[in-house]
Amino acid sequence: MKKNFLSKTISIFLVAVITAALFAGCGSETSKNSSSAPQKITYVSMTDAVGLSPILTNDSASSAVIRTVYETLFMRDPKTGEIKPLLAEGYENPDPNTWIIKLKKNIKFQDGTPFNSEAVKYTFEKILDPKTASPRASLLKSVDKIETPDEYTVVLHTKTPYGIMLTALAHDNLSIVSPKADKAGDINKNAKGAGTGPYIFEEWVPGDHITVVKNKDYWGGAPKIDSITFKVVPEMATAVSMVETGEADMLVGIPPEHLERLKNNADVEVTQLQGNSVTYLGFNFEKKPFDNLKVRQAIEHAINRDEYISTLNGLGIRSNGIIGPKLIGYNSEIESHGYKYDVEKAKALLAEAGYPSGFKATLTYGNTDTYNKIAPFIQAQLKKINIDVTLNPMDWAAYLSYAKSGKAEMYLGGWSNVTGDGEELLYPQFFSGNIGASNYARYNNPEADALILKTRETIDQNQRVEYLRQANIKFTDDVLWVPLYHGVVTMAVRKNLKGIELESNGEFRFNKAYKE
Amino acid sequence: MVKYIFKRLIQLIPVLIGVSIAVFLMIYLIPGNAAEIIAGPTATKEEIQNITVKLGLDKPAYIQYLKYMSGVLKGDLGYSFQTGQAVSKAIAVRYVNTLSLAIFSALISIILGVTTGIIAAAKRNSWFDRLCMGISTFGISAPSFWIGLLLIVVFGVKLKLLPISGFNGKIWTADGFIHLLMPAITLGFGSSAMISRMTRSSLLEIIHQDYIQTARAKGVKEKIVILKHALKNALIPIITIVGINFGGLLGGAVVVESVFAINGIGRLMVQAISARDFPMIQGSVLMVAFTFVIINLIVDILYAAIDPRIQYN
Amino acid sequence: MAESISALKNGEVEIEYKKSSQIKEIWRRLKRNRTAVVGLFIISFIAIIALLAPVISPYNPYEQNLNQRLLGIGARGHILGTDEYGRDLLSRLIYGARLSLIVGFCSVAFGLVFGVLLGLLSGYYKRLDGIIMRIIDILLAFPGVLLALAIVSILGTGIVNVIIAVGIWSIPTIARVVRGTVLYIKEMDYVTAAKALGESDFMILFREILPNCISSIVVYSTMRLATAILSAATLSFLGLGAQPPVAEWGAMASTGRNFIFQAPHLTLLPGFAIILIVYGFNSLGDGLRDALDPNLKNV
Repeated sequence: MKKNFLSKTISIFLVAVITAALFAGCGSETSKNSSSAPQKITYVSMTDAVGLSPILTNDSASSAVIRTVYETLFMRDPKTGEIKPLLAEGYENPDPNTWIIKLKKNIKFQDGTPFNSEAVKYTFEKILDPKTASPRASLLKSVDKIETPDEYTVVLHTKTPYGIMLTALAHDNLSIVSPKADKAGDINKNAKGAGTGPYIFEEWVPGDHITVVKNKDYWGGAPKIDSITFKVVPEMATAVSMVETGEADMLVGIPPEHLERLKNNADVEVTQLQGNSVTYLGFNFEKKPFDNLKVRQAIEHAINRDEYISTLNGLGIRSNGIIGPKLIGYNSEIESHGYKYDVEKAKALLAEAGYPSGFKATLTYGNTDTYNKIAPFIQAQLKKINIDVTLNPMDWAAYLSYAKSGKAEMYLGGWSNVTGDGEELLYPQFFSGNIGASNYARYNNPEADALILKTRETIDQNQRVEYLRQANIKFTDDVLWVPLYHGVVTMAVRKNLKGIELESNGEFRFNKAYKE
Repeated sequence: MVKYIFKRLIQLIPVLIGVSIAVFLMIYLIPGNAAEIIAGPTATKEEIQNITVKLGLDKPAYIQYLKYMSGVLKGDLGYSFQTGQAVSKAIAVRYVNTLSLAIFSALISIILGVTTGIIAAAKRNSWFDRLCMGISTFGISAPSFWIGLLLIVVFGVKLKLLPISGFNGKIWTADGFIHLLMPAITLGFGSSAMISRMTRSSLLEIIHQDYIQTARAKGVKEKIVILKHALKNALIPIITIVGINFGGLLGGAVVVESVFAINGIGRLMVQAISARDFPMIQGSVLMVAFTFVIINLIVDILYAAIDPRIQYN
Repeated sequence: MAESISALKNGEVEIEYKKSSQIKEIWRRLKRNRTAVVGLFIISFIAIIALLAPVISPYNPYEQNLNQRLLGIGARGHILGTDEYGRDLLSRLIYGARLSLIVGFCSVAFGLVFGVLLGLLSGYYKRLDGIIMRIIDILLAFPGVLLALAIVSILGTGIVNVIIAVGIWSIPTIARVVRGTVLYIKEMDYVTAAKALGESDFMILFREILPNCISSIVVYSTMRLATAILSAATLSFLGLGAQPPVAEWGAMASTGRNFIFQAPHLTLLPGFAIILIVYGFNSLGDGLRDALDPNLKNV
């Protein structure tokens, strides 16, 4: 009697659970197999987009969506890194302060309005308006006046020569928006019809997902994929599991500990590509003893970078320079610079600098997985030369504030950039005008400032690259940073998804994607 | 009773004001601000300054607070600093998800807990009793992120029985139900263990009492004795546990929401604080605090409804 | 979690006002309760390991050896394998026992100092009751995770701040438990007698009332220890826990989760260690409650 009651309850529950489970299994099975069904991609990202307007955002999650909806005047060739026209037809430089840009004709925004010089002028002026408070207004900072002599010509006049104009114009945040859509509503929340890109914004459930659908009238030919869902999955182990089971089709930025697992999965294709990011140990030049070159050299000598890189499962590359191999401005001769792992030499340098028995210092960093992993390593390495490091992890917002205001002694940071130009690295990080903002090193050196400005203002590209080369050598020799490793970008896609090419900046386009 | 509820609702006001002041103080003390986050690490001073002005962060703190609170009184929770969305709308979407998760996991914990508790009590010291108590120990003792990940690895990746993420906010659909199964189990595991223990010990305690012995002596079937008489008395502790956990769930589900990628209010709160998104933090915390107080009220009313000896005061 | 059980029971707790032989009686009852003995055994075992950590651990738990990283269980020289920096997992687990106990005890102690004080005052003085209970309500309604986030953002991450954060979580429930007991004891004859004899409030509170709250405080604190250790683990998951390279079980289980496919023992073993210690405290708490509460002793 009792037993019946018992087993009944349990079995009812079990049956319910199992039926439910099988039911779910069937559901996903059918949608996977039917080939005539619409082609859909689910892309998983750790964070949600901040907004959908290129003018008002500055983060990679937003950028991934923005790239599908909007387009820039120029673009970076995924293979060569060269800057090529996209919405533009070409350009001319009658003088270093004038950029005449010819636009492609017969392109329409998704809302039906024509793409023309007015749209470009509208977009750029909006970015420059302080009231807009665009986080990337500095990209156009040197632009003084924008003229539109005819429907397909835009003239940009600059105050001072702006050598990286084309690189800037290839930046996602300078994508052109439809004036009509922007005036009609807040395209930062609802970007329907606001761009010229291959996909049209469809839906955003904040915190959960964003959906874009095929733009049938795309000027470059309609894409094959019907819709893309950008799904937010904050936990990496979960995201990886989803790609493994086929719940998601694609993931980028895979941490080393999950890489092996995905590579061993027969249904998943993993791409690994040298990237343009760099992860570094920085110093505050206003704090003793870090203003002392010998101390910085000693620290670089004391860190066995190769050993750390060996733990990254191939997701880091040793290069001695601050400007890494995939950036404009890199030259392989930099590899003979920098300071090799040599504990004895480090100790000697420290003694020469007046610290024979070492010193105490703090290392500040944002408490993300990457830095949480590096920090104890640096601590252990510097212990060998009697530098007693206290770790000071902070949440990201607090870190930004702390580092900006010059409170940090040593800090861990990472830099990466969409445009892949060394200048974008040097100017924010080391130009004295940026002390109190992005120049956490509080590095203030007139000679260096002059060189940085040359890398920014020289119009002749060969000459500019030469300045970048010089700057790289100088800054590496002076140990402005200890470049710990240069990044490798990764992407995992389900094998049936083709046509997505990863670029060295970690980005990609869905224009040619299709499912088999 | 209406008077009692009204009185309790009046008491809610100082609590909510207190919470909002606490949140405000917190924001004021925490280093970092929304403008710096929006601008990002490579921003120039002008960029940060423009955004600061746009968000009104250049004004004195108390003015920001008063301005915000006057909005709240008019029913306007403001707009997110980061995304510009209406806070009320952003909260509504997440609230439904977290509430579904909380209700579902409460149901699971009650069903599992009460069933196993009854059986364990009826078959005290049997292998089943020991097994139930053993599993419940595990449930109480393990961190939820850890249980969640193990479930994902076993049921999601290895056995491919259950989907890992993708709850659509509609628990009443088969799809929603399936997607919420693992997260709800993860979350309900701990409380089901507690309910199971409470049910078991309440039943055991009651079984030995005179009136049950009398009922038994009268020849009533044992099953009915246990269920009718004993279970009713076990209800109060069960309601307490469900109430406490349910209130805690709304604010504390962030771990499970992250592991299973559920777009809930816990995650919203954590994101908002990382972004120093003041209106979003205020809005979500007020909502969670409000719910917490209301659930306490409901629990108290239920007590009185179940046991006439308990009176409102 | 466990607090609800004791909070609930505490109203029914019958306190015997017999100081002599009371402890012996409790010990006798505790001994008879098998779960409690198991709990006590587990806690003693972990405490001994924690005390002897430098003697018994085979390696320095912080020493990195990147050539020997991610070794599995049973590897040569490392019985339980190594972690992502090649640190010996067994040694880290042994040292982790120290930290888990420290986090548990210190945070509960922190909560007790404030919680007991608030509870005593609010239970004893009717005038203070309203305002203290409103503060407690606010603390309870304020999401714990957010509080911890705020504390860690203001003070920085680290063990001490984890202790403070977890400790603050304990305050409102401890205060409620104590208040409930005080309300009950306040009406007892000996308190009325002390009042009649003209003893000061201070003396009554700390001489007469507090000693008689001890049993419910002990029961509750033991269970709260379990909750505190779990909360610390949760904070680690949110990136707010112990700072690296500290060997703390919660932090180990949390960072180890990234290796769940590659080296599952990195998260499984610290997870089991947490289960063990939490189980230990819960069982001991259960046993103590039964031993201190005659109503339930036969269950």
